[in-house]
Amino acid sequence: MKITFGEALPNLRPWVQHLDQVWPAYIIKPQFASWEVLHILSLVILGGTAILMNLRLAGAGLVEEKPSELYRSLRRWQDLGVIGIVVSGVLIGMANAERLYDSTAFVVKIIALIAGIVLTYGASRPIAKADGVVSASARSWFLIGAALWLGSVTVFATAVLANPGLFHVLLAAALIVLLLTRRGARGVFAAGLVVLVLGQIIITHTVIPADDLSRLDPANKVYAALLALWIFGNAAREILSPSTDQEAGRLAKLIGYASILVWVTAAAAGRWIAFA
Amino acid sequence: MIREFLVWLQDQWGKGAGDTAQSWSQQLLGSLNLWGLVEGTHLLSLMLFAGTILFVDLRLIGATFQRTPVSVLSRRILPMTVFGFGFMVITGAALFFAKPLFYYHNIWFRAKLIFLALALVNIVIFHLRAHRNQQVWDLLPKPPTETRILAAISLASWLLVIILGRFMAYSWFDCGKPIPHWVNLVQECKTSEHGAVDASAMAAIGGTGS
Amino acid sequence: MTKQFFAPLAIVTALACAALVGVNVAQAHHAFSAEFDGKSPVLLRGKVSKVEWINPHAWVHLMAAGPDGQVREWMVEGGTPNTLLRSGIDRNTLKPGTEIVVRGYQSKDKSCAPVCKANGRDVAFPDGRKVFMGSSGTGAPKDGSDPNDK
Repeated sequence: MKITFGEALPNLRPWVQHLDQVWPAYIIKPQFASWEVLHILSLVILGGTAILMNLRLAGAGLVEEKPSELYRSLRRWQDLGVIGIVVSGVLIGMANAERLYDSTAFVVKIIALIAGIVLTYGASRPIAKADGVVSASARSWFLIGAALWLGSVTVFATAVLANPGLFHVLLAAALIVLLLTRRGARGVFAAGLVVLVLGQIIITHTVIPADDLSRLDPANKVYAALLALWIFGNAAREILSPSTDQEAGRLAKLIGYASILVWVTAAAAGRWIAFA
Repeated sequence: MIREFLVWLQDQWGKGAGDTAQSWSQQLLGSLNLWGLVEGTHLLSLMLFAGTILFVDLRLIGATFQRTPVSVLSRRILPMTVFGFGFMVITGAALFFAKPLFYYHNIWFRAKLIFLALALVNIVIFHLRAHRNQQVWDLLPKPPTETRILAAISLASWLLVIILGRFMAYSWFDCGKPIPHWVNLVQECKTSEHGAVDASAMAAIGGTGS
Repeated sequence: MTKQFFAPLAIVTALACAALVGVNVAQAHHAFSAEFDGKSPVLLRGKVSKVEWINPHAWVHLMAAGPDGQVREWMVEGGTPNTLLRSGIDRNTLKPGTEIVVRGYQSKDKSCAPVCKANGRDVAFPDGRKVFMGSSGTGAPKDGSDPNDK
């Protein structure tokens, strides 16, 4: 059984099928490309603010300024990005409703979106505003948001046609860890990544015959697992190792990581709706 | 000449022996997951590339981070921007490589390259002019007008690169379809595999399909 | 100095707006629609002339009679190679010369220039096999052909 809104709420199908005829969807539909561009531009704004603010929580990026200063400068732009992406998303979603209704990748996107809002507004921003201090409330929201995000990743893994999209999340995690890993270890980490990624591309395109799913699927799953281990193993090592010159607390660092990855997950799922 | 090279690139390069042999370009275009991951990475890397250049340009306009010196912001953020740009270029080149002739004859792609060039030239101009005397205005919440205008041009050109990039995926002006004559000219459809069909000529004949 | 730069800035901004507005206006004409027409079902019977096994959509070309009875070249959109493969179709199943019957929906742009276009829902083979070939939920009407669409 596929995890889709259609499976969970089958009675809504007639309403969903009719949705592109109601206002404003019937205006949006012939202008789909332009409204979709607004969705992408909102992603740019949201992505930029999330990366800058959350890297600072993890002790990287604009370290000359306090997290509260980044919060002050970025918060309205981040609000604009979130509002823009939700509004444009609803509009183009209405114009394309039945497709989303039958899409597992769309379910992933929505769960990740909720997780993103919870992590951003419940944890990441309050912590930035408090210059890195993690309050009890922020910790609670983090746990809820992280659980939702892990849920979205799990659903993503079940989507037979869309789950290659998880490699986007792995790549983003790898880049964050690459940035935050100290000098010496960084080279080793990067080398490991290159070996794994190149190995996967070579083996799945030359050694294994094309279209041979019975061998390609296990191979890709193994590589995904190896990459995840390599990346999150290094991340754990960085988070748990005694901090030398960094003032970022361990939990704040972790929340910074998660608050970037959650948006990457939502975006990756969003893109793979069309490929599934 | 360019076109001949692209024909070779698309149809010949990397082609083994045998009737079912495909060039590397064709193998990428027909790949199970790789093309989708390359395309998805091209889009998602915008978060890193465009998301960061947005805030550097906004600072240069004086719209955000007014209390942070421009040099500090640039030093910390631009390396991320450049890294992101590397991803955009590599994935972009791979996507072009997978379907070179289609994009060569595509008006949106040609326009995108023009604005991409404009954006890069603008960066050079910035370095040659506004950047020269940066220590004078580095701390100002609102940099001098010339700087602000160059930053606005930067934002506008990257915005257009993104918009035009998205429109490339739509088939409105594909060669072989009845399209305005000037579009056929700009896209050089005459030399393409599908030929050039002018919309006005179709109307004159008075034909439509089923 | 300042006045010199207003012109290029204004031009670039105007171009961006013009692009968005112009495309909206253009899209009002069906000829520019990227979509398929749920009210124009087609049943195409013919021999495969070509298969484009490519991303993001595979295309099957065949000579077939459309709704008006005239035999023309049709190109039928399917899912990604990944999607098709997991539905049980590979690039050899649709070799040139294969007789197929495709059910789908014609594009909104009905001018058939250069060829007629349709979104494929399912494809039937001479051995009786019937396979769903579209991407799930393309906005095409729910018509029972998508096993995921129950």
